[in-house]
Amino acid sequence: MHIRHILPLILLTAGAAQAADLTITVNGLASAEGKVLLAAYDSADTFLKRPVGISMADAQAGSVKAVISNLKAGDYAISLYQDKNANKKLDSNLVGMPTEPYGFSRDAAGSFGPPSFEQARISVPDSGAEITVTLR
Amino acid sequence: MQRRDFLLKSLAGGLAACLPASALAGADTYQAYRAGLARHPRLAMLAGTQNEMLAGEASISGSWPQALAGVFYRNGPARLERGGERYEHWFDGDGMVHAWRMAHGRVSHLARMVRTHKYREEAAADQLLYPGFGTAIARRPVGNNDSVNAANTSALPHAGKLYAMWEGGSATELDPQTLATRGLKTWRDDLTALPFSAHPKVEPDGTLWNIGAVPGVNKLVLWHIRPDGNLARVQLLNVADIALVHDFVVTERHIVLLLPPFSLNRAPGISYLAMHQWQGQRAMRVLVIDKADLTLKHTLEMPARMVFHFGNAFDDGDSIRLDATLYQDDQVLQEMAAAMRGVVWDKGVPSVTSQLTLDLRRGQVREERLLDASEFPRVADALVGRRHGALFTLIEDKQHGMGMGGVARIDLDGGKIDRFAFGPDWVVEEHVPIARPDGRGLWLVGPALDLRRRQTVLNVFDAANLAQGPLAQARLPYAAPLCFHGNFQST
Repeated sequence: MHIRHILPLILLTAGAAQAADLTITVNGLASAEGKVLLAAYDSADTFLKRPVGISMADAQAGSVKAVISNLKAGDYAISLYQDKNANKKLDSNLVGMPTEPYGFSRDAAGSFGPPSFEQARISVPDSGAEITVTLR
Repeated sequence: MQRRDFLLKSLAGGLAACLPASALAGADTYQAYRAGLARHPRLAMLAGTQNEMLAGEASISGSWPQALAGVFYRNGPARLERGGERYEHWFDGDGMVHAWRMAHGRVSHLARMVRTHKYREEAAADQLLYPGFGTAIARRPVGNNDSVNAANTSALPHAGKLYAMWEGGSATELDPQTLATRGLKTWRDDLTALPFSAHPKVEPDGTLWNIGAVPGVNKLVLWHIRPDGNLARVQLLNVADIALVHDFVVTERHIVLLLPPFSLNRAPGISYLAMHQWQGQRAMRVLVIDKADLTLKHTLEMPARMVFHFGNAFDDGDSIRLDATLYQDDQVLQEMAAAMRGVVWDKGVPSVTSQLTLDLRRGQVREERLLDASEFPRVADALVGRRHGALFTLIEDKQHGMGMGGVARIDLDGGKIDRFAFGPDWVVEEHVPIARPDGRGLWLVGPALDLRRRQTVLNVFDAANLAQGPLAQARLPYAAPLCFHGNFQST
């Protein structure tokens, strides 16, 4: 099971293993329905296709924290969404508009579609990083 | 599995059709409007309201017809300012739905703000937070089209329900009695937030047709709702370069759209309006869709025009005849933006209401001009999609600047125009024809703003004789915000 709930212990042990942890505070949850699912991507080519790290947290109204562990130091873009109906996918309508809350690192937004990797790019050093994303 | 797939599947395919994100708020139109108002009193029509609700009894002059009984629902952008900021376009304001109730020769008025997601968030923050049609504001993230749904364009009673409609997202259901907001109307889960235009066409049997344009993915949504209010069909058509599409028409066999020639500039940080680049050298496309299988049967072309509104359409052998109010180009959109910042253009944008004949065999479009300087064409509900003999419009008040100044009936056989002008102190809103219950003709009913007394008046005309002026007027003790469109429900 690679999906981890947030435990401070994991943070500590992950640090010891010389891999970086990314702590993500997700704001703007209107309800406690379902879970927040998160993914990290390390290149434009793999963005929204092949994540290099994932995480999950139980939703609660307001904000939640999640950690994506064991990332190599480097640049990443994070995508996440609140899977309100727990069907493990970001629901969308007939033309592809998302109908569940979602967000990207740097609160990046695209025009008629998702943002680019570049727009959502963050740096994660060896010592790890903390970011905040607001659901849209 | 595939644990990693759950995110990518959903995120990679999705997100294709959201409204654009926008940068910081644009120019401050708030002060400019106030300065302009001092020079142009007619701009009081764009004052909007800060009230959540308006209610009052109208005082009647003349004799309000006893048999004219029902509710006239209307909608328009009413909340145009917040926290010292003003929207840059009239289309941006939050919708307020109005109910004019008529019974026993008396008239009352109730209006309430539609409590959309956007309105509730902005009211709580006392600040404009979300982008509008013509204003680039990005203080809160936009999830999908309904994040910015202003529910501000029309109101429609259908199958016992009442809807406030926008064009970029869902219809919003309201309580028909109290006008309290019930919430977004979702006909099916996968139709959440899908554009549902403000100009659905309801046939005499109650069948409802609507469109929705999705420029992000070049799709046109076709909606078919049964007379009982349940979804019959929804269909997607691929339409290249689809942009702003406001209205359409139906005949007994067809759905017809005109596509003004725009290209979309997707630069970040600009409003949806600013993305629209007029392409006057290109043709206006005419799409003819078969109602039976919802497929595109014909694409015709005619010279570039801007169009918002249609009157009606009907099949005529191998042709389709329809009426529409046409503009030479898209300047009318800029003219409305100018008015929001207190600027009245010396030369208004000319409009003409024309009848178009679509010759489906030859693939040709013929235009016959019916009436210059007119807008808001309507026909009687019983004639939607059927051959109509008369078309009702508003007429512009060319002498006194912006806003409509009167009403007109165009007799399509012979071209006779019957009209009434209210005079310089009035701004006239859309008037709709209403069938008399005794079957002896129509009334024409609609509001007008009395600028001198700052009061809104509901007019009723004998539709066969507009020139004689209103049969009666129902005067409110206040000015109600100007609406765009509405529909009557008889009781």
